Amino acid sequence: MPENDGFYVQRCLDGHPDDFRHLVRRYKGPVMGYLAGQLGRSDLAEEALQEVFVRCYFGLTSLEKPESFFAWMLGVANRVAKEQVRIEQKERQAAEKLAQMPARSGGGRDWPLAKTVAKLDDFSRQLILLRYYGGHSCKDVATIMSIPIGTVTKSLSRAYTKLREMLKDEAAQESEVQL
Amino acid sequence: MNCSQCRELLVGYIEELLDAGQNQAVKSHLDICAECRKELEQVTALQKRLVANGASHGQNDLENAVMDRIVREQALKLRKTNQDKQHVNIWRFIMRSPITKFAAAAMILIAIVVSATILTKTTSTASAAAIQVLNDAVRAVGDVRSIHIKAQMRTLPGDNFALIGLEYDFVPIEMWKKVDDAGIVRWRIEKPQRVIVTDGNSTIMLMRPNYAVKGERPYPIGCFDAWCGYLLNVNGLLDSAMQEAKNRSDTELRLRQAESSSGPETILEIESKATGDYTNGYLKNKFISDSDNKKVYYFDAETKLLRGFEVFVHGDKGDVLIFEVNEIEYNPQIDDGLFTLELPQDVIWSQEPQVLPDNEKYVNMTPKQTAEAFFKACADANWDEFLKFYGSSRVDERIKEIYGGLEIISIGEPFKSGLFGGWFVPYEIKLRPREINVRLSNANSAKRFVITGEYDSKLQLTEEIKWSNEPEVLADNDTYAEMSPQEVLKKYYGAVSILDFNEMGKFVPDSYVKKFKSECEMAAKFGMDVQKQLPIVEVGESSWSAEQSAYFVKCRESSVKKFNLAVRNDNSAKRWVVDGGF
Repeated sequence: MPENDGFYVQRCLDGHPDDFRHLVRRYKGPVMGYLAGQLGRSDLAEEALQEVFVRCYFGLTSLEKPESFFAWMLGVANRVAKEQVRIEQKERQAAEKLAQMPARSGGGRDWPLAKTVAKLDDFSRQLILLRYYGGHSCKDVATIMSIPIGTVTKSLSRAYTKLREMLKDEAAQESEVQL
Repeated sequence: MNCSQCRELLVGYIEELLDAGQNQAVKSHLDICAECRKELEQVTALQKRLVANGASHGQNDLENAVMDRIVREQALKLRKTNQDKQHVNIWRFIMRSPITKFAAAAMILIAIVVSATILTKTTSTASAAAIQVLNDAVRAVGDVRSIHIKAQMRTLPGDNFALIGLEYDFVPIEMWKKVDDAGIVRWRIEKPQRVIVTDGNSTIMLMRPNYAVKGERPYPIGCFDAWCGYLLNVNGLLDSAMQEAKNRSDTELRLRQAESSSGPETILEIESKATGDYTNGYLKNKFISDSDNKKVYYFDAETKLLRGFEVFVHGDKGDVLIFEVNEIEYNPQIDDGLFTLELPQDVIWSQEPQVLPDNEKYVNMTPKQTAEAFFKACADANWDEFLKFYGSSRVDERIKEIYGGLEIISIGEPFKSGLFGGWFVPYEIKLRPREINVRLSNANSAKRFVITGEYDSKLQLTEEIKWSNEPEVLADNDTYAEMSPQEVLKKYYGAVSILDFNEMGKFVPDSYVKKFKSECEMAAKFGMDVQKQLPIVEVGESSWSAEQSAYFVKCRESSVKKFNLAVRNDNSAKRWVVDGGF
C-alpha cells in the first residue's frame, strides 16, 4: 500500500530528506511525460525534469497543501518548461543561422500524443500521467490522488474521449498543413 | 445493459476492476454490439499508444541524479549560510532561524538515512555523496609522504591496541608513517605499554617489558590488532568506510557541513552495529567492532584532508566517546630512527604453534579439555607442556612464579561471544601461596610506618612504591604512629580485603591507590568478583635492615583467580592454544 504524498512531504519536512526519493520515484515518469509534451524534445525534458524536482524539494516549505503535491509540482514543471522554451528558442535562433537544426522532433517518441496530454485539463492530465507515465495501477492512482477508484475509471474514460477528439483535430491540422 | 452503461464500465473492464457480474454483463453486451466493440478497440489502441509513449521515458538514473543535486545544493546553501554567519554557532543559528523544522532538517543538517534495499541495489544518494567526500579525501592524501597522529583511546595501557572499555580512562596513542621515494612504507604505533613498528621488512610488536611478536613481513597497518593503526592508512581507512557504507545493510550515513574554529568542514558520520553473536554478551563493547558505534570523520572543506576522527560507542547509559584524534600532521619530518625498535635483552618471542609429534592429541581436545590440560601443566610446573598451549619461545619467570603449583578449583562450560573465533572457558584456580617481603619505613614527617616497596622470597625488589609527597599527618596520627610494622600491614591488608580505598591511602601513596582502584574496576568489568579474588595475606615476622634503613615484614600471600580462559584452534597446526584471559 503506497503512502500518500502528504506523508512523504511531511517526512521530508521532519528531517528525513531521503524520503523525497519516494516522490521522485513516483512522479519521474508522469512529470517526464508532461515535460516531453511541453518541450517536444526528450533531452530538454530530461534536463528540465531534474530542475523541477530540485525546485520542488527546496520549495516544500511553501507548499500549503502537502496532499496536492502532484498538482503543485505540475505547476512548477509548467514554469520550468516555459523557461526552458525561452532559453531553447534563443539558442535555436542562434544555431539556425549556422545550420539547419531539425525543429522539434519529439526524439523519436509519440510527440503528437505527448503534446495532447499536456493540453488536457489539469485533472485528466494528472490521471493520464500517473497511469501511463508513472506506471501506477488504477488502485494506486486512487490512493495517490485520494479519490475513489470509481472516480478514477470514470474520469479516465472521459479523458480518453477528450484525447481522441484532440488527436483527431491535431491530425486534421497536420494534414491541412501538408496540403 | 445498454451502450451508455457499457461505455461507463469499459475502462473498468479493460483494467480488470469489475466484479464477476459486471464483467459478464459487459462481455455479453460487447458480443452483440459492434459499436461498443469499436469503442473498445479505439480505447485499447489509445491505451497502447499511451503505454508505449510512457515506457519510452526511461529514467533509471534520475533518482540518484536528483538526490545528488539536492545534497550538493544543500551543501552550497549551507556553505553560504556559514560564510554569511562566520563564527556563529551553527546550532544556535538553527534555533533562531524562522525556517524552523525544515531548516534544521534539510538546509543545515543533511541527514540522509540510507535504507538497506537502496544500498544493495544502487549506489544510494547518501553513500554516493559520502563516497564523493571520501574520494576527495583519498585524492587529497595522495601526495602525503608522511603523517603523524596523536590520539587518545579508552583502553588499558598494556592490553590489546583494539581493546576498549566504556569506563576506562583515556590512554594516549601516537602514530607515525612515512613513505620513501622507493615506495617503502614504514610506520610506528605506540601506547604506554605496547609499541608496533614496521621498518619496511618486518613488523614487530613489543609488549613491554619483554614480550614480542614478530611478523616476517612489513605487515599492513592495523595488524596485531592495532585497530587504530588504520588511521595511518588514510586511503585504507576511507576505503573501509566506503565498503561498510556499501555492504552493511544496517549502516547509516549522515553527511553535514559545519563551521569549526579551524574553518569549514565536512562531517561524515557512519553508524554501525556490532556484527557478532552476543547471546553471551561477554565481548560486547570490548572492541569497537563488537559495539554499536558511530564513527565521525571530519574533513577540511578546502583541502579535503581528514582533520579529525572520533568513535562513539552507544552504551547502556548513552554515548561514550571512545576514540579521538587530537592532532593530524601531514608531511612532517620524521626521524628514521623511529622505525627501528630496540628490544630488551631478555625478550621472549611469541611463536606460532608448530605441528607437534603428538599433534593429534592436542587437535582432538575440546576447549574445556584444553583449559584443564593447560592448568594442569601449570599445577605440575611442567613448562614444556605449558608451551604447547602458550605460543612463546620460553616461559617468563614471573609466570612460573605466579602460576606454578596452582590448584584447579573448577573449570566451567565453554561459551562463545561476539566476533572472537575461539571459546571462552570459565575457570577458578587457587594460586600457590607465595612469600613476599614488604618494606616499611617511618622516616617521614608524620612519623608513622608506610609501605615503600615489595620484594620476593629471594629479597629481589618486585615493586618500588614511591612517595612523591611525604605521608600526611593524619587527624588520628598518634594511633597510627604507635603501630608496629606488622600491625600496620595487618591494618593495610584488612583495608584491601574490603576495598576500603580511603584507609589504604594511609599506608600507600594516592597514585598507588588510584592504580589499584582502576585495576579492580577493570577486573569487575570483565566479570570478576574482585573482593573474592583478592589475595589473602598472612602477616609474619618483621626484621630490621640496617642496609636499607627500613623494616621488612615476611608475608604469605594466597589468592583465588576466577576468570575466562580464551582458547582457539584457527592456526596452521590446528591445535588448541591459549589466547588470553590468563
